[in-house]
Amino acid sequence: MPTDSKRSTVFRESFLALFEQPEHEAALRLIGKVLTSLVWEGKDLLDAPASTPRSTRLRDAKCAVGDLHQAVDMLSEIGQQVDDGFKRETTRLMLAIADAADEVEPIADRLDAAFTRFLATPEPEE
Amino acid sequence: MPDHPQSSVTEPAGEFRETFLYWIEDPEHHATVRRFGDLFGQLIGEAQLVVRNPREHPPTGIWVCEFIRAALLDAAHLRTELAEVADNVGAPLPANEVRLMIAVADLMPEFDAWIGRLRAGLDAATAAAAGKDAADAD
Repeated sequence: MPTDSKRSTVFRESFLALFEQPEHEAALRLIGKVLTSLVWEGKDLLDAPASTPRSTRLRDAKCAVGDLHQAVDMLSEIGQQVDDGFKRETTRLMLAIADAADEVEPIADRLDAAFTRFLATPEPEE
Repeated sequence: MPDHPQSSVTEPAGEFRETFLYWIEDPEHHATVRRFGDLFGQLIGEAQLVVRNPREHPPTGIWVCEFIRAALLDAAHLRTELAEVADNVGAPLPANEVRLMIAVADLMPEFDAWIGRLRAGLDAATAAAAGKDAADAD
């Protein structure tokens, strides 16, 4: 499992964790790096308009709230996967995680609302 | 910088992060890559030979812990992004931006506490599952 700094910037970790063979997971991490480079180089080629650093950071953070929602859904779903095939300790963990996902959902919703309110306000003139 | 209303989880992003998709500026390209991410996830799901197949290999406790840890890492990514936003607190900012910073700062301790609780629980569960899975394998 990677540390925060080694995390893929393209693929979700919960997706990469599905791969059984370490070399398959490593290959996808590499593809992620290549895709990131391509997008950044493509932006130069396409002569993209200059961005506003302040807006960029905040809008990027809003996207991260979107990713949080996805991760919370994933944690929630783990609780729904419980069946008789799991050992008691594993079942207990899966149910606890689903409860924890319910706990964080209001935080994600409040963050989302704060960003949506902010982005709906027109940027002040420089 | 473009605004992608479609990024607000109105269409599935599949296996791509929203923070990656955001950088694809052209709306048409953005929508195409978004659809590709969804399709890619479905294809991988169908190709059960390359992914962990619960039907053939029932998940062990340790695998469940690893999967949860991965989802938690995705959730914690938000913390990194918000810390970068908060780095600018000292700068002269418009009022609406200050209000946003305050809203974020108010929620951060709650979020940090949640991540901390979950990580601690997960570490304990991982240690227990590792011992249990090893004992079952013997």
